[in-house]
Amino acid sequence: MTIPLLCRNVRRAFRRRFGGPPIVAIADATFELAAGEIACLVGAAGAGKTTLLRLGAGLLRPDAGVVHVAGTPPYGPHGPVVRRLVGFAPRDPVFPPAFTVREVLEYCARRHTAGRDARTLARDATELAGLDAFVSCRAATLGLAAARRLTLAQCALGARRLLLVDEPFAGLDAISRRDLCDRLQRCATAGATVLLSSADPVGLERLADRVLVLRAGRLVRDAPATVLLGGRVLEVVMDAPPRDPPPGFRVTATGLEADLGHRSAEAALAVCRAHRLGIRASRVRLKGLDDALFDPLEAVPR
Amino acid sequence: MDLLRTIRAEWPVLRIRLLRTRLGLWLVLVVAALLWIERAAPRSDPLTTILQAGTLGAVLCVGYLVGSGADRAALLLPLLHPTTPGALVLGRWAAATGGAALAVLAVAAHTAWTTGAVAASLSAALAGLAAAAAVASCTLALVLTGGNLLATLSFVWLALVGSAPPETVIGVPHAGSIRVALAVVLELAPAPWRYRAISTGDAGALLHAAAWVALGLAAARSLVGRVSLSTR
Repeated sequence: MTIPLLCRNVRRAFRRRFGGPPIVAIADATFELAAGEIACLVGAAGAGKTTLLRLGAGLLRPDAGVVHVAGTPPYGPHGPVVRRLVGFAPRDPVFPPAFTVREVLEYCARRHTAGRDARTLARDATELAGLDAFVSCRAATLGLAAARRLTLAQCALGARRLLLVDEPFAGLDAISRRDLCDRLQRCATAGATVLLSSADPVGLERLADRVLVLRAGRLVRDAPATVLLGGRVLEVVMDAPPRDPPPGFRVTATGLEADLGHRSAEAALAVCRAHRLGIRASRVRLKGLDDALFDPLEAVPR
Repeated sequence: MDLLRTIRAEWPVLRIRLLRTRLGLWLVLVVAALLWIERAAPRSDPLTTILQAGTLGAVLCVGYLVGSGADRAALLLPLLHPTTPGALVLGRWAAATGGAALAVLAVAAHTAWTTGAVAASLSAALAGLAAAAAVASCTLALVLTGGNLLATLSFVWLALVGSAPPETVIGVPHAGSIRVALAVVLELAPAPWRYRAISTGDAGALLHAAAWVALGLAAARSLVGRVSLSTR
């Protein structure tokens, strides 16, 4: 069975307009996605998430390395064929002015097939995105939540097997976020592989099967969400955080922090006391996906 | 990929813009104004009117189909589906030329109706369509570079100067190097005066139009590829 998305040692840089060294957006990324998997690409703004998605969608070519969608490069002469399999939902989509929602989807569907079949494709996409109430509305006048659903509809149109969704939850309220999560999950249940990016990983717990952490263009972590979410964290509040933390601890703004793993909180606190650190308070919390972003990792030069 | 299907996929853009924007109104106004000018002129020249309808209609259609910032940004949307920048540009150009063809056919039909010269009107309409195709292609590349500002300049240029052959400009006294520059642009660029000869079967004029169609489409294709696909 072919792998829906394979990236191996991918590198992509952008030239500066007025000279100078190029900006390395993706320094090194290697991963592959399985069919029906929902993977979340998390990282700070400028980490290279959008570039990686655009590489997967064939909108950019890698400078080095391999990007394959179902065993074929998504750019060059294969591009139009591969785009039957891969959909891309940009973060800030622009729809043709004066088009209604139905017309936007039919306009896109006509690239896949003709006549009645195109209308059927557009209708299916409308249902998937729950846009039935908006079909006659102008796409440019839609609110953010409906516009994001229209973006998802055009992305999934034609029962594509790989959906690359850029920042789908940015600016959405909790209800719209949950609704979009459910729709993405429905796509994955139907067999599509979903790779979505988010600068804010909060709330992705219930959606992600797997989390890829991108930092300064490097893929620094690739793990199942259950692994990243399974642990407990001990937070220690101190009067003055030490310059050199005890082994297994990291310095935070208010004191120290440590992954507990199989240790008890008491054992970890005993380590602090052994180092003669003044503990003001402590608490244990469950790990969230945002911890994956802040976990101590050696600084990666850009 | 079915090239013909992806080209046809652009036709709804013309229909929607004709019915829901001021494009339809502008085309009607241009046709009405050209017919009024032709009627008011001391010497009737239906061929020039038809060529003007084609070229001005082409600029208007390209402006309304691709010219706005939102339209140019929205060019990314079809490229996320099975198509190529070349097919997209070809489709948009065909739609714009189709819109201009409506203006050409309206003026040609009016001419045939009023003068009874059906054959002459038909050959003039063919010349008008060739002129519309060349101007649409050239304007498409301009508009993708500089938006509707360049479309407006192109419209004014074609309306005021386009029908005059370069010899007329060269003949103007005391105009200096501007006069020569204008004459060179008139000589090289697609303009109504150049395509008059198509109605008499001149292959050179037809080749000139075909060359501009090819050149404009190649430039527009490259611009669409660069603008839509390479932005970060």
